[in-house]
Amino acid sequence: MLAHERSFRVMGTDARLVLHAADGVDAVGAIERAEDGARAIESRFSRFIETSELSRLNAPDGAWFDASPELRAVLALARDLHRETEGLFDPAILPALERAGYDTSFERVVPRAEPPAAPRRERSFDVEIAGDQVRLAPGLRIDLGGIVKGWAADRLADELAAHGPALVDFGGDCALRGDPPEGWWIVAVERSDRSDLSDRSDLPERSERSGEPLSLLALGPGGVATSGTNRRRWRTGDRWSHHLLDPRTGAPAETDLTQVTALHPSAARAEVWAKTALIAGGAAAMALPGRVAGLELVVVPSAGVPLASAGAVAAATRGTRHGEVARA
Amino acid sequence: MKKKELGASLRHGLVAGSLAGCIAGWGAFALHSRPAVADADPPMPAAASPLVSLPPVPDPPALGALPGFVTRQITTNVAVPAFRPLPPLPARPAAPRTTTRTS
Repeated sequence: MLAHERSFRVMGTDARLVLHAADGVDAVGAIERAEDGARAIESRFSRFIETSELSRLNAPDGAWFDASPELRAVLALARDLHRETEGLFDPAILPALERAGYDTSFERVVPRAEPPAAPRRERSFDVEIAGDQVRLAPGLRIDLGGIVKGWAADRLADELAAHGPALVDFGGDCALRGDPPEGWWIVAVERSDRSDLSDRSDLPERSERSGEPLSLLALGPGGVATSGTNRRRWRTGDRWSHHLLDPRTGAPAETDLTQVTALHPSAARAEVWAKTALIAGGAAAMALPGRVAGLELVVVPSAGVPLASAGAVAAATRGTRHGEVARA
Repeated sequence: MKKKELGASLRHGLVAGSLAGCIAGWGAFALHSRPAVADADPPMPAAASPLVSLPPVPDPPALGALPGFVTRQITTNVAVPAFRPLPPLPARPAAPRTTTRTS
């Protein structure tokens, strides 16, 4: 069984596809189709492409809109998760995100001398889905960037899994299918202080931590995603802004956590719950695995040692032992 | 009849007449009001009625949830899943397949 891999840029981030395919399987063709699928998803869901389906949906007329099956699927999932997270996941945060300075593809976001516009709470996400049509409330504009990478990873991993064990990673939002030849998918969790934009003076220099992950997780099929305030940050005035806005205030979330990694059978749900836990803060985050089926978390507090729920500790313990066994 | 005797006779007549009128009026009033006084005062029974024992007050019914309402159990001791520190990395960790990080 050979491992076929491909890395490329899409959806403003690094993508990685891995497929373990038996001899005789057109693994290269399967991976090429998966890459094409990723680019098609970007074209459909990017808010930075004027002709994308999402941009057309965001046209402020509140009319019924003929939506593709893909858009309907993501909107339905987003609506469910908006309810399940009690509003902490809210695609309608787009105007607040733009006011905070994230109004273009992140590679083009530049530091700004002027302070950010005053935050304000936005209207909550609400969508009607009837048959092939969808409708947002008049004036509502949404950003699906907080869910679509995980959703895409799930979708493309399912397609690749028809040919063998597969991994799809969009910038850290990963979907895993099947069991690789080594038994587990070994996924490193990046340290939250490894950021080229870090303004933390209380942390060691990057060189001291270079190459060392926070943990190694040995995972079976499912999804894993990480969310933190250490990336996708930019300066506006004399303050840092980051992309994780709290829908309750419309401002970048003020939280006692710097990073959360979520494990869940679905990569899309892992992505959303990682963001939700980060915004909710440590105490609320640590209650989530008890009420969300299949959810495990690794939380990194601003002060103190990283902590993990039972399932995540088990995965990290397996990952540690896996490294020891591999060396033996 | 002298003037003095006439005056005395008149006074005597007035007093006697007034007295007779009062007596006659009182008698008429007494005769007229006697039945009403009798009706307002019914005869007492010969013996007091026996005491009636009231049935005991039943216990209040056990309270339960109203139909159609979801009950919420409120506790002050919410079970929070145990979080523990991550195990330390080995000296030479295995090479990961990929890395999860903020997307």
